[in-house]
Amino acid sequence: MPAEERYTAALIRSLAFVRKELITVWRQPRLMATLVLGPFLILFLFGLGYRETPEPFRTLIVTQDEDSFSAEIADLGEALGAGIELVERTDDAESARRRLANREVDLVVIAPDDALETLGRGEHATFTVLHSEIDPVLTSSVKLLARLGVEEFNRQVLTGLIETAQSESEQADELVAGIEETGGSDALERVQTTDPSLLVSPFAVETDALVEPPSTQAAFYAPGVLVLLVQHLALTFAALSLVRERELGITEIYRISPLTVRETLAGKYLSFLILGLFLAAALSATMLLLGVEIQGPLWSFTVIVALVILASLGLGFALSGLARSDSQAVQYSMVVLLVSIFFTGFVLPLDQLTAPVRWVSYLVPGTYGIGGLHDVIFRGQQARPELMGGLLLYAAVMAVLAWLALRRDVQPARSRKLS
Amino acid sequence: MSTEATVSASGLTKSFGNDAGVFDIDLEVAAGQIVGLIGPSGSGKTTTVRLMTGLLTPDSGSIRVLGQDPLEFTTSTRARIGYMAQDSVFFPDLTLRENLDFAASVFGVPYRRKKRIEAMVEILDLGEVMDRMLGDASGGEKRRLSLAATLFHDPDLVFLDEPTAGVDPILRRRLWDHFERLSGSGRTLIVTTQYVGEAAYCDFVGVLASGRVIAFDTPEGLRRRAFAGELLDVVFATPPHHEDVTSLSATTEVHNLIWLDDHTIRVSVDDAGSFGPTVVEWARERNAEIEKTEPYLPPFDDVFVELVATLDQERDRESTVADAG
Repeated sequence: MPAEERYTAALIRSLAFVRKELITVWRQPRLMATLVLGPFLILFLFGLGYRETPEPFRTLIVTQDEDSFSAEIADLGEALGAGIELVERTDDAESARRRLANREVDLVVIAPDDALETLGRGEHATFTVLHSEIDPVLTSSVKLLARLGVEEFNRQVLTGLIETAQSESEQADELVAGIEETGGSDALERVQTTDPSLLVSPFAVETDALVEPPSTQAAFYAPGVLVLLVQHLALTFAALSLVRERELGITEIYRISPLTVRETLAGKYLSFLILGLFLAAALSATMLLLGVEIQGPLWSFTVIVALVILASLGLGFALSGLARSDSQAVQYSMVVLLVSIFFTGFVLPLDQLTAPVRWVSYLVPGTYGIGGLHDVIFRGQQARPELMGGLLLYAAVMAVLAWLALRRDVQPARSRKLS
Repeated sequence: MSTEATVSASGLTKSFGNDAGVFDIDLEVAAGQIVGLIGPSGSGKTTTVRLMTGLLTPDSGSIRVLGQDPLEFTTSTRARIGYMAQDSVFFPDLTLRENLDFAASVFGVPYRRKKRIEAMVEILDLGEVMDRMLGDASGGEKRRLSLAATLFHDPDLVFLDEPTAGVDPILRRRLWDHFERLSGSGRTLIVTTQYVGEAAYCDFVGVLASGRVIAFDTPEGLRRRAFAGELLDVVFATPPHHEDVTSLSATTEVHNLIWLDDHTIRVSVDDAGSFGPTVVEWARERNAEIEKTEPYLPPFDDVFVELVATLDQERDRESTVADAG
């Protein structure tokens, strides 16, 4: 065969694939939407909703009214800047701690009891900043904020003192005479012998956490990994299971058999719940080996994981109603995984998403699961009721959607009868 | 047993556009019968079965199955029905035994089912392959598994969509023997097949072409309908005169006459048995010697071809009349 014909034939053979692949893709608009539009939309939403500055910490300041620096402390909110939202000033430290534990506030700033006396002893008067953050990023933010805040506070105090001194300088001679008359030379001597750093920064700060934060960053992310893996497995299995049966044609047998949607759903939920729990148990064991201890009740941990699995299964069954093939079902589950990584609080705190976009987070079971497991594992509490309630509601809504998706495959034909 | 027809369809129509679908199907199936739906690929056999099982919604017409509209089947009615789809519809990652077990469970068969499994395995000759993955099974084995799964819960009414496709002739015969036993025990079977010869096993046969039932009768009735009666081959000792034979075809008893060779003619008559002496007498009057007469049972392939040809002729006539109009 002449070389020219050989090359032409080779070109024709290659172009056969070009034509075939383009036509195939063109005829699958859902595939295009899922592969291109899906991730684009997710990133667009994330970009739209992400804000660099997290929401200000809701803060309580605990101080005594008769405190020598009560006037300055009253302005502490300003000193701490835009990073905090001053909720209240109180003199009840116990109540403040309780409210922090209940997560009504994010920070409690406890002013030093008698700053002047402490300073008089040549010691720093120390603010205590209490928080209950477990996210390493937020914990660092709290520490930084506290440090900057106290520096600003020191600056304000010193500025105030110097202003006072300057305004009264014309009376300095009289003041010195007065000091001498009143035996104030001792005080002057104390100032002269005081550590300069104490004079420059009379106030210090220490931060303290109500809960033991995760030992490492990896430990903090471990519950999120567990939730996302369990969610992904359950969702994918559920979606694939129905699509595959539809592709095989066995759903026709279901529709003719006495099988009901309820029975099918119960069977499928139970089987994948068992699988999901096995996976969760294995991941939990790995988590324990990595040093992440479950500080809260184990039953609460189990309930959250089980609910995440059930909710994800429901979502998977519901998505299977939209998928026409195995590969489409897998694509949908990958899109959900992508949404989960960005929007569930796995990587970034939910606070860093603006309110309307944050609602997307609650369309994914992982959001409830990660929040709930953080409460149980790190805070040693039961999951917040709003998370448990949300997850329960989510699982119920998904079960209804799953029922609708399954009805098409399993339900006797009466529901499809034309009027 | 109820005297009500197990399946009753009237004017049943389901169109998929472009002349595809089934149109004006009328059928009556009594309990305990085997009814064959025979026709070429695309003739509407599967669509008819799917309408009967409620898998499709008819555009018009009515249908009752086990006394109910298939679209309104209750759970208990569905437990009385078995359906074998045209394609193998089980799980390739399960063994044949696991698939059969699953199908049995879907129909609520109690767990103590080992004996029944063994019986089905025996009937369907699946003994050696039951523990093989379905994905590794041959087409015939998959068909047999589907059949086992369909019959496992002992349904009263069984729809079998091409159960013998891809099955060797010996096993096919065994299957039909089993269907006859089921029918004998009061089960009703509606069986589609492309093997026209299988019509002989049926009590009634519906012949489908282009989505229409062009004939619904007993196998014998179909033969008579296709050839305008019974067929009798008349073998002459010496070639008869053509004029004489023409006079025979002119008699009212003979509906049709064809020459098979110089010595042999085939006549279509109402009753081949009683026509034998008549033709012998007719030959004697014309000094023609008949060597023998014997009834001819045409194969169902010929019956089917003849019926379809008749339908085509009728259509041509109708379209000619319409064009003339």
